[in-house]
Amino acid sequence: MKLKIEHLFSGYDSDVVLKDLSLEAAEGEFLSLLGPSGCGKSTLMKTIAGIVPASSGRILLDGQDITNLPIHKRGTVVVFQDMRLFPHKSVAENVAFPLKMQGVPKQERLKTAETLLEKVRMAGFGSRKPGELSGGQQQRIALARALAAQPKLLLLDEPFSALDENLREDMRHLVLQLQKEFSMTVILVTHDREEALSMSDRVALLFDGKLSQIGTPREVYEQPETKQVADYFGNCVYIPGHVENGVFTATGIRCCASVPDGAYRIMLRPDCLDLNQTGTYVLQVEEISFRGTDSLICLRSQDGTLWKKSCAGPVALQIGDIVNARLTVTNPVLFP
Amino acid sequence: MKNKTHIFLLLLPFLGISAMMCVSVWNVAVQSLGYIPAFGLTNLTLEYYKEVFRNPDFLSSVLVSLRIALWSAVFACILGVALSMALIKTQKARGATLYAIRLPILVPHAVVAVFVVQILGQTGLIARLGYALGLLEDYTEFPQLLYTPSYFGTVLAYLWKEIPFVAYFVLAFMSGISDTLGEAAENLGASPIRGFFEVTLPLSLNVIAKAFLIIFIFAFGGYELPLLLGSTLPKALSVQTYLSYMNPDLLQRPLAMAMNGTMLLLSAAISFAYALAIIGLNRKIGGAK
Repeated sequence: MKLKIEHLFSGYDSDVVLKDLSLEAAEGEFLSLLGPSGCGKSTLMKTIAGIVPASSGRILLDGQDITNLPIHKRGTVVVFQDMRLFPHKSVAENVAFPLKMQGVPKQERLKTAETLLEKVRMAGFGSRKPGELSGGQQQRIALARALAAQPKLLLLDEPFSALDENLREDMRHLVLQLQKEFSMTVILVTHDREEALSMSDRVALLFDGKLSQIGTPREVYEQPETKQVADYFGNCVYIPGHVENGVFTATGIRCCASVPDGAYRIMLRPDCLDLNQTGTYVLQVEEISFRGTDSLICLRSQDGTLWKKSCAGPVALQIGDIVNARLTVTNPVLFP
Repeated sequence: MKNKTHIFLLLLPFLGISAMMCVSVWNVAVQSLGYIPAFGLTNLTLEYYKEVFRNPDFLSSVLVSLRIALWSAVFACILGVALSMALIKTQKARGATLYAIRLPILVPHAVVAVFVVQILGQTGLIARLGYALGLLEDYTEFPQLLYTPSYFGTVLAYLWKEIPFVAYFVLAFMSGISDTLGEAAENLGASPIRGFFEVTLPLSLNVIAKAFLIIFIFAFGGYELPLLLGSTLPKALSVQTYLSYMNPDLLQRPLAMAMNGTMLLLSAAISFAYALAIIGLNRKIGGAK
């Protein structure tokens, strides 16, 4: 195991942010820490990097206990949201900085910096100062500088949040490409669900300083273990029903369930709703919003449940139309 | 219209002080050139400046004042920055420590002189303590630190006040740099000391240079401490100038003003050199076109 966190407590002065958190990341894995603001994901990242001291618990990197090591001896590097490039140094000097700290001779480190600048598609920018670059370019330099340190663990602290949508997509692609090329273990801190789901091998969901769930993007999205996790990904609909002899039954729904008998609420997402007028689940169209690539249709069922489904292409429905929808439930998620 | 009146009212104190300064500078310039109609002097001449520069005592005074200013500013900046960094690294850059730092800044220079005499004089606290502990056979064995031509006591008194001033002046700025870019440097493998010299210090030079200039100019023109703690000869420039100014022979007034004028010109030259240095520094740090 590359990174192992055991019963970690951490915070600021008397404010305990991380509460008994345990987590593991494998060699070469891309792990995202996802959660709402204030859930402790940045604190966890800073504690791993040594910026925030751990109150108790252990952090093991490559089997070595790094819990009490100073920042510069940990072998972890953070790419900060605000880049933190050194304004008095040129781009090449910035990228070469970690090598300078390692005692690499000047010519050699500048040559490595040049190679890394090519990798982040910033060749020829070496002599400029960070202040002369755009936000996206600065983020590439920050990434190249982090790579120059050859970290055992690369920590990305919401590095794309300050970029516009096009640049963000570009940077995500670049980071994934470099992660594979350098076979790096990466931990990404983000509150962007789409970013976490699309980039990661696994996603860890944090709420109130505790790990709620960890799994592949598909697992955490499709099989949330708690209502909190389900709600975080949003667009959930909960329909009350009951389980009897391994079968869940609710209005318009009947599916297998491997839970003890009793009252439950089934969590459904709009993907399981088919508006082809051949089903028995009756809905009325309340609102239609055209969004360019698709349209968002708001529908309300007879039991008052509100569904928000996006449909590609032109929509033949009108506000007030009755739809006989079909619900397809393959892996039901039930909450008491 | 109301807004303009508001701005004008807010600017009034600044304009008042500026006007007083301009009048004073004008007086110095005119009187140093020998124009004081009240004393019957109406011919503009550079003779007083020539006389001042021919006077070896005056040149010694200039050197003494430059030396006091340089040592005070250099050591205050070095030790003030070190104090500031120590406070940042021990996370004591806020609260009670900050108030404690401000205390020496509030104490008047004349009071500082009394402290220094009582502590470092040959009959001062340290000498008495040394004598009481049997380290000294007589008070006079304690080294003469005050009233010497080296102006050691004057520099010490300035340091007592100005080290906290530098720490207070640069603390917030350095703390900001250290918390962000200093942290980034350590994160990239720099030890705290290396990170300080590679990142925090170079980026704080602009502010440190401001503190240096303030102390240098103040100590260069400062009057109380060289008078109270300095030697009889050579006198500091400010003391020499004051004595000339107070000369009962009013016809000597242009000479005093020529000394003042020289002090003013030297201060302006130092400020100009500072401005050039800062422009160069900003160009090196900034980078943005």
